[in-house]
Amino acid sequence: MKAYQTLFAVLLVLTSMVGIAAAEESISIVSKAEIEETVVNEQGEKETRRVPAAKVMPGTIVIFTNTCTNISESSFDDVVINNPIPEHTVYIDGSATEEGADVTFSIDKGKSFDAPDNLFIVEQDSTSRPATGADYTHVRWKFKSSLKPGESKDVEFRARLK
Amino acid sequence: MKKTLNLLMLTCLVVGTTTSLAEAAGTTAGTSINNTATVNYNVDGVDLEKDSSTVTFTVAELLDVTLVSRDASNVVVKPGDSGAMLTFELTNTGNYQEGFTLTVDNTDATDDFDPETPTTIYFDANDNDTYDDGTDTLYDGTNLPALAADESIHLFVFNDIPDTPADTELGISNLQADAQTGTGDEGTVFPGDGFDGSVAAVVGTSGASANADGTYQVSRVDVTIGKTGVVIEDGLTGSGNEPVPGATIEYTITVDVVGGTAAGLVITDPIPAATTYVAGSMQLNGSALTDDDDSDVGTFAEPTTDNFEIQVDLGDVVGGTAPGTTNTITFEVTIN
Repeated sequence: MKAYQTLFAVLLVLTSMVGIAAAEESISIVSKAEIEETVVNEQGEKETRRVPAAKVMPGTIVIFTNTCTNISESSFDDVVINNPIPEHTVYIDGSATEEGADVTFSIDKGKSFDAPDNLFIVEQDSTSRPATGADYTHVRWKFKSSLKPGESKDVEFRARLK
Repeated sequence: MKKTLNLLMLTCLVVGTTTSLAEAAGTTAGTSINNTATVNYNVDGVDLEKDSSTVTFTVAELLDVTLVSRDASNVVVKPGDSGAMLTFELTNTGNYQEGFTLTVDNTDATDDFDPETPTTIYFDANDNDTYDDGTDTLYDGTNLPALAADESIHLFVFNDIPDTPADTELGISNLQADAQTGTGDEGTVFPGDGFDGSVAAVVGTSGASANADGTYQVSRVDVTIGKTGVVIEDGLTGSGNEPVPGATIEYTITVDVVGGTAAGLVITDPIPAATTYVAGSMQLNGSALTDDDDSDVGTFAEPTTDNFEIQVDLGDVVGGTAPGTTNTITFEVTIN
């Protein structure tokens, strides 16, 4: 019995020590970049569809989507996704997914996050103005509920390529 | 995993710094845009973190150009002038280096005359925005240096002016610049022609082509000023013509306008050194002018420089077709 308990204790310690390794197998997060294109469907109507971004012209609006999937058998709490706004792109105000998550932004390269109404930029002449999408360095989604085993959630935002 | 993420971020930073100059024209063609997200979560009290895969796409090349006239107003020329210059500025408003082909068209039918050959284009070889004879380079059809994204260059177009246009008639010379990779409707794609061949070049809103008019305005107006001075009395006897101290000199200024209208013509004449203006002596065409700066056209003024001067504002003077005095101004001074 004692040997078994020791072994179990050792196993527990080992498991917690390889916490990061366990993460690799229990969650999947995939990021994709798409652009919208307008096509004429079989009924002759115009419709927009998303295609993967490949060679993109300056000025194009790109849709970035992160798909987060719980591939374990435990529930995930306090799920937070942080996404730095890619270099050479400008976040489009109001474009981040809001359903099921609290969305905040950083204007200080990820040191702090807050709601858009609480973000202000101090100009060189010491006047203060509300921050806009062009000032954001990061977007963050904090899931309102746990991510259950097998559950998947998409969060997206749009940014314009400079 | 964390190590990899930091490396990726470093790469992004390096790319950002080197292309910052081109930002105004759009991100440089060929730049890789990367997105990576990180998820933090909690399982049974244990905090965990994972990075997403990085998704990447590449910036395509945008072909765009502007060309504007840099002459502040119509360039005034005389009939028969040769080598009259027009100034333009060409800007690559795309996001990658591009060469441009230039052509001149003088056949615009909306003007009064066509500027004539020989027509030459010079480009600003020393980048000082002015034409330097002997330094700036003659365009030979192919030797215009490629412009980097956001770069501009001044261009100088020379034409001859025909002998026939009437006063105030206009002649337009149109300069056009076309991107060498290709031109066309906005959105036209040239696959594999962008950046190093790994991306497409796409035509922007300008159609990758721009043109601008330069306008010559012929002036046939000639203004000739004549001036004579005569001692009208010697200050002692009431008559005589010796230029002694106290003598009075009458100056006569003749103004002759030929060939058109001289707009806003103002005649000024400084009072000569060692003389004193005789107050109230100014006359135009035989009628007295007041010295004060009032409603009549004459003023005896103390200008900002050394001498007092008489000023007569003739306004727009319509000239005759043959030489002949249009206005005569007289005033008197005494020798000190």
